[in-house]
Amino acid sequence: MVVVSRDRGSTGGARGPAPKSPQRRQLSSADVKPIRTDFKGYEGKYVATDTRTGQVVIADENLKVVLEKARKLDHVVVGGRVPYADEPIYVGLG
Amino acid sequence: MADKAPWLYPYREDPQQTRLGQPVFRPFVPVSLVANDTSTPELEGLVDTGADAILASDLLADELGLNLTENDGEELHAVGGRTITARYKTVTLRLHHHEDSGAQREWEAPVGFVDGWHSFGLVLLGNVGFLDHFTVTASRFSQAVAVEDRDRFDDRFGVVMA
Repeated sequence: MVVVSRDRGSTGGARGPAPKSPQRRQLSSADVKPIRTDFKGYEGKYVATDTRTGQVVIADENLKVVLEKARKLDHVVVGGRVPYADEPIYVGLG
Repeated sequence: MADKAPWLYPYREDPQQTRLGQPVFRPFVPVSLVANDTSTPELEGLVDTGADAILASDLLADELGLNLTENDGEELHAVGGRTITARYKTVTLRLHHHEDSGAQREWEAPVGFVDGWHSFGLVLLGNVGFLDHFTVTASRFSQAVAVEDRDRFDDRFGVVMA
């Protein structure tokens, strides 16, 4: 395998962390943090969560109900079914 | 995405998995499927570099009014220690910006619809149909995934010649 670099400029050999580019600073925005969700109490139901907070905003045993309600709300993303604690965990899609 | 700025998405918690009692966060991005002038709401799409294609729950095909008996092809996939059948239909996909900009990217791709779906995200975004349309950088360390125009990879790393 041959890799041809389009960047022929040197980045130098200085030790220590590389200076952060403007883009990297943008990517390090405090806006980006993992979204946690408390799924307790929703086992066996399909859920939709708030895209900003992760809070469950719709829950129903019927996915169609969740999809229909989600159409009418902003900042909502439909996830899947929350499993019970004793359900087997599949490796990969299963 | 035309301004070359990456679209950044925080990892989101997956209720199906814990690791040693700790929550597991995954690279989900919001996508919707469109067919027959019908769109799903935004769905959790799991970015999966190990998946060959885009797979989705067949419950979504029903939602879109797709008749899977008239499909573009069927494939057997071995996952999770068992075999599943994916029935493919070409549909429109939309990737939604994480913020409230309303921006979205739209493209067409074959989606394999699977019955007996067990993944939390209802859509699995694999290589053909997603990772060949975008440059995707996932960082467990930063707990975020960045989606950019697909030519950004070559811009950053150069052209890989076999």
